[in-house]
Amino acid sequence: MLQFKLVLLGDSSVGKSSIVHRFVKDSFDEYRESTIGAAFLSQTIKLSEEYDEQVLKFEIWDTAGQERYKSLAPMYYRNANAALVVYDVTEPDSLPKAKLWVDELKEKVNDDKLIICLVGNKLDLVSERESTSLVDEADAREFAQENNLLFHQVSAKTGENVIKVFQDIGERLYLQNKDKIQESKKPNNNNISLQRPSTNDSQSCCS
Amino acid sequence: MTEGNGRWLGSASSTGQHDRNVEAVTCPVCGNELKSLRKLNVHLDNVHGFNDESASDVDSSRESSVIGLNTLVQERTHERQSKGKLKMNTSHWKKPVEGKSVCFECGCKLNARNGMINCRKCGELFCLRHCRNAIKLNENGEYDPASNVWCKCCHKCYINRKGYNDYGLTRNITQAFAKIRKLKNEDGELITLQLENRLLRLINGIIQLHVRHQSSVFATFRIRAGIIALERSIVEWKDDQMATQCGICSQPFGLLMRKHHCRLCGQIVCDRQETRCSSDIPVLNLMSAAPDLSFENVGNLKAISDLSTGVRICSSCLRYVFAKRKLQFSKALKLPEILQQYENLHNLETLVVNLLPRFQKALDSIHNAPASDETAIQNLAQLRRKLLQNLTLYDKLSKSIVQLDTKSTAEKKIQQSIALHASAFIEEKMLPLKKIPEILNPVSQKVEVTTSSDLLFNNLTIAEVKKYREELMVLNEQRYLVENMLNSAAKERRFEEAISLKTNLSEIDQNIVHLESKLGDEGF
Ligand SMILES: Nc1nc2c(ncn2[C@@H]2O[C@H](COP(=O)(O)OP(=O)(O)O)[C@@H](O)[C@H]2O)c(=O)[nH]1
Ligand SMILES: [Mg+2]
Ligand SMILES: [Zn+2]
Ligand SMILES: [Zn+2]
Ligand SMILES: [Zn+2]
Ligand SMILES: [Zn+2]
Ligand SMILES: [Zn+2]
Repeated sequence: MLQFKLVLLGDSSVGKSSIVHRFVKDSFDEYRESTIGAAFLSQTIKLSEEYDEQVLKFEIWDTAGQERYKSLAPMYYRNANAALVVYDVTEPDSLPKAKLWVDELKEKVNDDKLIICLVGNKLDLVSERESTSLVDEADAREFAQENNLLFHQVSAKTGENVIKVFQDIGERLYLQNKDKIQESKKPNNNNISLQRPSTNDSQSCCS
Repeated sequence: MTEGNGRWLGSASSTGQHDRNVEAVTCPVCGNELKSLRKLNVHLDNVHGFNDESASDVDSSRESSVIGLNTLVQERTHERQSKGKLKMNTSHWKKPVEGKSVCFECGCKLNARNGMINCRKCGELFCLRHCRNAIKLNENGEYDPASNVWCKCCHKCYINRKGYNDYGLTRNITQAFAKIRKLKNEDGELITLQLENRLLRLINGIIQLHVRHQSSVFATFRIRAGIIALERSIVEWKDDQMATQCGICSQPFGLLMRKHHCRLCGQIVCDRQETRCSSDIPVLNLMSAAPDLSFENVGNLKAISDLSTGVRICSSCLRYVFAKRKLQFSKALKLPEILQQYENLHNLETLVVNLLPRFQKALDSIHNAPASDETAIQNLAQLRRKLLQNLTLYDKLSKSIVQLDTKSTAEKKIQQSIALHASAFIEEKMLPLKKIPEILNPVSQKVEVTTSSDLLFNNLTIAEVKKYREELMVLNEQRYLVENMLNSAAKERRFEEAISLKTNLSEIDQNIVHLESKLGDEGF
């Protein structure tokens, strides 16, 4: 089976854990405890016909957004194939923080193969809020475009668009690794794990 | 005894060491001056034939000088003079074989230099060092305290002789003591029982009086009168004319020292604030302090709070009746916060103390094999990390104990001692850990390609140290989390995930080692 590593980044309480739980367990918990350190989950998806109905497995590291745990993040994004950078559409401060994460990824990982998806969460709250207290969608979209990021707006609460994010990432990963996948389809070779080649030595990132 | 003899005895017993005694001594037999006691011994043996002739198997002059027990020599002097020589049976002596015989005690090869002596008693062969005791034997080589002949013997024969280390008659009086103690305790229990009984009757009587008179207009008056009669019926009061001093503290009574009768034992005592020889205790308090006693009629009282009457009880009776109860009561109470915390601290301490020898062993094995083997170093790093974690926790805990609010001076003192002990403990146990970075450093640098970290090592600003320590803590927490995830993944047979988690775990470990080496001595 194809296996990819995915990491979630973003300010605390923007809904990273909620998104993961919606994706992995299709459930939502209003009173989720905030994450300690980094949590590990996994989920399998099947791509559409266009993508040979390929089955992918995501190994997901859900990091804690609090400052205290910031030093852990490099360890997890360094080996990741994809990163979800999440912000809260009802929290204008959370977008700049997301942008900082993107900058850090570009600087520290500096690998075109790393797929980054900018995700605005809590879409369900948009209708009940004044538009002035919301994140400017155009701003986020523009930033994503400039930096060549995928962009989605979701609601972990209602589940809207959540699967779509992972499908989208899965498709990109599929395209990216198409050659190797074809290779693996040949007999006697049906279980490979694709690891993004790490440009840096494993130790050098955190120093 | 000659004058010379006396001098010789005096100098010998005052120093007891012939070799170092430079004072000249006079031979008690011929009066010749000799340079030292040692010389005198040789002289006595050679010139006057004091040498134990039966023992002249190897090197008689050396032997005797080794024995050289001055007091013995003196005794011998008399014996030999009066009795002459004793022919001793030597048939049980082991025959020495030059170059073959070994000391029966230490196994050394016996030769002319280290001696070759038969223990006169058991007959085994010994070196000089192991045959230097003197024992009284009869001609058959048996121990005989009445014998006049001192012979060389080995340590075993020496200590196995009858009467060795004999301290005289002993009498074991533990039994008798236990008996007396038991009697005393039983007496005490009887007294307690009697006093409890009186207390119960007294209080029941008081309750009764309250119940009987509670609706009366003259309740207060009637109850008081009733109590006075009741009290006298419980125990006979000592005659207060005769009493000149307090029955407990012996302070003479006077204008300021009023006399009081204890309502339980009847003795006359004071009620000074300083000594509290007696106190007037509200009935309600007494009842709640001895809830196991069966008080009657309580239900018939209109209001239990009406029982405002006090009972005067002396400190001795209080102790008899309530000491045990108080102990039981406070034993049932929850420990104060500070002691609870101390228990945790103590457990941690045990943990660290148990870890340290393992750590020391790992450290030694690395020292002994300088071609540093990776797993040994990993092991050492892991142990060190564990120790540091526990010590950090210990430090934290001891600091939180120090910050606790104390409720009494006793607690304050306990707190201070804990603080003192904790800091000494950390000081002491940190020491071996500080030696490690030197060993781990070159290795971790070998693993890591970065050279920039070298610059930081031991050259960190306080902010950096703080930051790294925090990162180390976060890493350790994460390590714990991932370890748990790994365990459950393995249990649920999710092997692919287990592999990823394992990879992450070793990555965390690498980071920890890396951070620790960066911190070096500041790691704690
Ligand atoms: N209304 C709404 N609330 C959400 C949504 N996603 C998360 N939350 C809430 O936001 C809070 C923080 O979520 P959490 O997943 O812990 O955020 P994290 O710190 O980024 O992992 C929680 O109280 C969630 O219930 C969403 O899509 N809509
Ligand atoms: Mg979270
Ligand atoms: Zn002489
Ligand atoms: Zn010997
Ligand atoms: Zn012997
Ligand atoms: Zn007194
Ligand atoms: Zn008394």
